[in-house]
Amino acid sequence: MRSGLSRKDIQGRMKDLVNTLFINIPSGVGSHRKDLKLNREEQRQVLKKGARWAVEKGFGAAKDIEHIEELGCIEGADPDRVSERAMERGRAQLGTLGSGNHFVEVGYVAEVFDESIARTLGLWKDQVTVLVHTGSRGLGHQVCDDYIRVMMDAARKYRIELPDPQLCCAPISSPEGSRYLEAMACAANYAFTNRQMISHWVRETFEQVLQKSPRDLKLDLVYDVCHNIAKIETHTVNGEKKKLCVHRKGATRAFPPDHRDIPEDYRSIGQPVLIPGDMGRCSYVLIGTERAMKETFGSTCHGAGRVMSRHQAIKTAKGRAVVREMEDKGIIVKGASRGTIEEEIPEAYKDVNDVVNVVHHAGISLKVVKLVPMGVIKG
Amino acid sequence: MIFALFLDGRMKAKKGKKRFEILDHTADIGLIVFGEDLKTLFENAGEAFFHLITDLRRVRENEERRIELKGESLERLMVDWLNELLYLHDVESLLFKKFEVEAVGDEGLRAKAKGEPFQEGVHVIKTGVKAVTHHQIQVNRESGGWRAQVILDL
Repeated sequence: MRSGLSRKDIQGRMKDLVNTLFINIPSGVGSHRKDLKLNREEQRQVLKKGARWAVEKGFGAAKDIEHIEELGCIEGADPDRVSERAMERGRAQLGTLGSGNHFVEVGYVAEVFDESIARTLGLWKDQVTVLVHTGSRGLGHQVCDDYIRVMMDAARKYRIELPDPQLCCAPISSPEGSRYLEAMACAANYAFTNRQMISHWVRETFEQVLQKSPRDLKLDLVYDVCHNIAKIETHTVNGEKKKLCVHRKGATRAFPPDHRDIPEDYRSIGQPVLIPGDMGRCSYVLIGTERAMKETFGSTCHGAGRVMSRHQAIKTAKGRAVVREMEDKGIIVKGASRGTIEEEIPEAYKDVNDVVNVVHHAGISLKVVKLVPMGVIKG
Repeated sequence: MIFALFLDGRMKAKKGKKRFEILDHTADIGLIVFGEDLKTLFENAGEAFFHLITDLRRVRENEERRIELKGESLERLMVDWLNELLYLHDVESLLFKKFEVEAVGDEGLRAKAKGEPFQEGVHVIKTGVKAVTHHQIQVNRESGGWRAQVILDL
């Protein structure tokens, strides 16, 4: 999200903002909003409608939808393909951040690489920004787990030999394949909804802490992009247009200018791509290119990537006051537990600057702005 | 590839036999579990799993859940067992400490798990586990007992 605030406007307020974000956005084990109760039918609507459900319920504005990949709803979602167990795991966790590398980060635009594209995205130097990283939570994991079982049997049925059981699969057009895609769409729609709700609570937090109106804050969605998803898309292969299932795992979509799946107001520049780094360095906004379309089926990287395992990170962080270290760098961090902060120490990740420079020079997405963190909440 | 880089997660039973090890991996984490018989192997896997998630010394055995799983291969049963525990952890915020496997084999698994729900201020979460995977899953009989390997998605 971008804002109408310059970083000077929130000077000295970051602790308040981070603490209030942490209260308003459920982050730890078993935590959830007391004011949010979802019945079965409503949950089915979430899976069918995605972010639109959230907007109908008062979370965020209708114009947010235009800036979400697939308009916040993957077509063909069928809640009947989602198990009771997945529904149950999802019900308790809608509107929660989750652990691991999920976060909400308040930062500012530290560097602008492309003035004109940044302007179209509504981004300017020293502007306050917010990044939200979360997904389909336990519902998505349960859908995966359920369909791994289905796919193991399917692989046997279609005589697909597997080097590892986790790679089990089925032809897309098979009953197993199409059922999975209908279930996966539900998980994606749940994730869109989850982010939309959390974004709404981010806005409420800013209003609460800074005592400013939404009109002054102007916390507008720049873009919401999917990680780890399979999509049916048309690409040119050997000079021929083909309908493909593009599976982006550890990748994001990076469509070029003039692509019809890009929001109208961005169509001339290409699709915005958000690349979160680690909590101590920086993150990037990039833009999709024609080259990505030609070389990587319209895809680019999706984050910095780890160099240290979580255990190694915790071992490295042992005896260190990580929260204090971050504070000395001007970054306020609050997490549900010590462990989840320690495993996210900056040196556990590759330097996102290096990663982004690789994709920039390869031309599969181009740098627009660099965001530097000021406050982070972690699950 | 997965390498056993360090073993400080190694836990020993009172008589000195190693019950499990934590296997290090950049994005995920693995458990290597040992047991003199299949029942102990599955019990130790449950303990290893929650040892990773929380500090078990702070968990009391206040609540009990019965778990019954249908028979499949032992590999699949191991993943199902841990996924079942993860499901209960996710939905009821339960932390389990003690496991009693009554039966395990081709017929499936019957077990009791004891623990209590997570309480802010009492319990700590060391690592959040997203999913138990089938990647490089192994359950093998070895000289002197059983050994299993499971990779978790964190």
